[in-house]
Amino acid sequence: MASPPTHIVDASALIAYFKEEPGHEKFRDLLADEQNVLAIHATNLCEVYYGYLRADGPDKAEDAWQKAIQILGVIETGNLQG
Amino acid sequence: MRRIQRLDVRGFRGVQTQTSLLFDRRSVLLFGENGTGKSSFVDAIEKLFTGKVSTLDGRAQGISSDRHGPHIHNGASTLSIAITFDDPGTTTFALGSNANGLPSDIREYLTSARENLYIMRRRQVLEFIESQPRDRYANLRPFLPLTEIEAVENALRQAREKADDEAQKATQDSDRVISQIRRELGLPSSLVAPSEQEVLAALSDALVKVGQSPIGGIQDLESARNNLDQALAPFGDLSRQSQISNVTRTLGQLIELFVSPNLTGFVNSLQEFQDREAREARVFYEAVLEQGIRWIQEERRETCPLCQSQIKPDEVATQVQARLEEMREIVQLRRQTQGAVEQTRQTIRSAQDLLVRLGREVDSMTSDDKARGKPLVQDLTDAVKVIWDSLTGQLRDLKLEQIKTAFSLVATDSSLLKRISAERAHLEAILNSLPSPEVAQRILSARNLILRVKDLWIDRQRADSRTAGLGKQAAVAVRLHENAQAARKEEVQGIFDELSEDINNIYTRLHPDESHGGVRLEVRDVGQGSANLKANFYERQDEDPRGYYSDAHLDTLGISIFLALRRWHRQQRPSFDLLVLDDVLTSVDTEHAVRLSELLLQEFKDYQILLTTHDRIWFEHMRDIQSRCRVANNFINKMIHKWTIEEGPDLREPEDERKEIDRLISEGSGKEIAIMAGRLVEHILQEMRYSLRLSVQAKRGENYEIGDLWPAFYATVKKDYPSLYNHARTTLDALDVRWPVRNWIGAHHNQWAQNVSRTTAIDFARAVGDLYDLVFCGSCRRFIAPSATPLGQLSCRCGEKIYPAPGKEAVRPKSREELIKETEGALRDARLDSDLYLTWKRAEAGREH
Repeated sequence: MASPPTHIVDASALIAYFKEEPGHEKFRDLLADEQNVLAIHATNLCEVYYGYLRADGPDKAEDAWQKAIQILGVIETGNLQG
Repeated sequence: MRRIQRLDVRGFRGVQTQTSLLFDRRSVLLFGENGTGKSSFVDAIEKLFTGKVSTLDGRAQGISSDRHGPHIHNGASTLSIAITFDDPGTTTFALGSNANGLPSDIREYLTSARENLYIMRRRQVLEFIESQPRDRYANLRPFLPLTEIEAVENALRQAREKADDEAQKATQDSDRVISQIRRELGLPSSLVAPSEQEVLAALSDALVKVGQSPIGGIQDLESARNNLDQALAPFGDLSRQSQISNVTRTLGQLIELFVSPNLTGFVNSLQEFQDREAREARVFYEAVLEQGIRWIQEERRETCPLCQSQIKPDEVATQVQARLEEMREIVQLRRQTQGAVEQTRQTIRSAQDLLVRLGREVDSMTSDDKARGKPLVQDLTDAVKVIWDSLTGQLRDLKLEQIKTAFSLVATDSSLLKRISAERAHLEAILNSLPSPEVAQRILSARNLILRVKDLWIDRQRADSRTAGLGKQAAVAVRLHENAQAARKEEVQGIFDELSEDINNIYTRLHPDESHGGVRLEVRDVGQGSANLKANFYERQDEDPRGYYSDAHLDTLGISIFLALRRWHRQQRPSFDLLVLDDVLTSVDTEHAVRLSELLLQEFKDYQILLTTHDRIWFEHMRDIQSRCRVANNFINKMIHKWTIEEGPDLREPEDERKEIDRLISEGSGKEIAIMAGRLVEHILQEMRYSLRLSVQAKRGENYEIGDLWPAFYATVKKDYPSLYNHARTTLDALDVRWPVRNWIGAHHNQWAQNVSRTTAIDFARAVGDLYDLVFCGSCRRFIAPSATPLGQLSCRCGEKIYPAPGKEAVRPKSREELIKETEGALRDARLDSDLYLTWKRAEAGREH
């Protein structure tokens, strides 16, 4: 991978950002800086998806997925070999 | 908040032809070897905003930006400087244009920009440290928010001056009354008030002489007058005699005044003083010497206050004292003459008083007497006014000839004085012819004396009480003014403390773990406005930093002070964010330069900075630091490739180079084509080096050439960005075999390569042009860079050029602001939160164990 992410985020950080929990500002500030490349591993993204599916149903899970890939690079197996 | 979009300069300093420095709302890091015209842009900004160039105007006699600003091959007629702003109407402000019609935010920007506290040049680094306390304060004064407190201080100073004036006038009035009492009683002339006993003794003497009892107190004056009236009753109506007696006496007093020695002697003493001064003291400027020595001593100046030459303060003080000593006789004479002037003025005031009284007395006379007396009173009043006017002003302003002419009006042999004497003789003759025995005359004189002294005594009491009251008021006004002065100094010290704290913060950041700092600006107790600079050095506290700090430390201290001032100025003008640093890091070592760069990029990232340097290594470091501090997008990094007197700095934009290639392909020589293409490909690779984070082997001088950059670029694109590689394969492969052309021609001199074939050069240039078209977006004027998402995608800022990540669709990039707007709190109404998620996670982990 040529341009490694500057930050790898965890599922709970993403959920806190979507929910606007205390501390979400830190996530937002990192995202606001154009020099930062934020990424999440596909496994963690699946956990986020599953969490929303379990708590809120498939529509919210889909919404979360779409929103997440708008702002985060997704590290997949292929990327890790880079 | 407005920012600069571009700066256009023509015919100014080292810039001959129209040259643009593009800011594009961002900061600019400008590299150029010495003498390539970097500072011309800084000078242009300063000239445009302030009308001056601090490296020219005021630097030395005969040097000015008006004379030395225009390019030497152009007259001032072709000079033009213009800045275009980023407002919706892209307002341009040009040299010589009127700002009145511009949008209000631009006008506000220009107003702030007139206060030059945002440009620092190499030679100004030490300016603040080296300047005198008074000059330091003068530099700071426009930025001290003291308008209100100074208004109060000024009002109180005026009140103090007024109170002083009034107290002085009251004292003079009191002195006049005292003089008159003394004159009436025949007491020796003096400004000391006669005691009540002296007055009573003199009056009693006069009463005893006419057979009356002496008086025991001032309160007895009324009964004494009644007794005198009773004594006069048997002599019938003596009112005319009384009137004539009064006028005769007043005329006598006037004659005494006009022939008094202080009046006649005054002209001589003034003449003596003026002759002496003209003869001996032509070059003796007492006030200059006294004021100068006070400045030197109070402010510990090491330069002459007049000519700025270096001096040894103690030696100068000794010399000046010796000169003052030599001239003591003249100083003494001046003081005596000043005293004589005051005394003469006092005499003239008394004459004015007597004339007022004479006027009243003449008015009360019979019509015949009055008709003769009034013209004399008027002529005397006019003459006294002429004398008074001739005495107005400072000692040095007095005109001897004018005074002589005025005084001649009442000289012993003057017609006026003869008229007074004649009138007096005439009235005395009338008085003698009137039926009044000598005893009645004497009683009448005593009665008039009693009446006049009684009135004068009341006047004196009033004058004393007024003098005391006004004296108290003046003392209160002095205290109030002194308190206001102290309050202003306290306020200024408060600001200095705040400023000192920021200077220390910056300085400590540049020099962590070093045993100095404690920089402090102080207001001096003496003087109107001053700023002393103190600092600590190991166990030495509050020392002048120049005494202990190394040159490099003084440099960083100067920069710290400037940056603290800039930040402070910004607090007051938040919408003005320009900061210009012109090659200021020359004597600072790499470690401190890096710290300063980090500080600038972190703590001043919300400023629009123009940073110039002639140090290529620092230029490259700065680019790395921009990435590390995550502000690379805020910066445009530019190089001045070369400078010639005809063309000025070569600052061509990549678009210009691209166009030039097309032109040369149709009409240029092989060599010209190859040189231009080589320059553009290096330009592209320099940009790609940062945006793709290419791994390049470190090189001394950081002067990376195509041979250092191309292999890393080619390998990275091929391996990590297959979509770009596939798109650009033909171009990249063509360049992979042709890039050495750059080294054959242009970068290095090879005789054998001077005749490179046009075909080879055109192939090389076309490949470079194609690469440029692939990696540079003409719409957003940005090179491609990795997108935030998806990983592995390359795109320009606006999304017109996208090379998708492998196996992904192209995703049009959005601004971070937009992304945050769409996603922050997007699922705040969901049930899932991080607590619930972590609870589940822990439960899962428990099950797994």
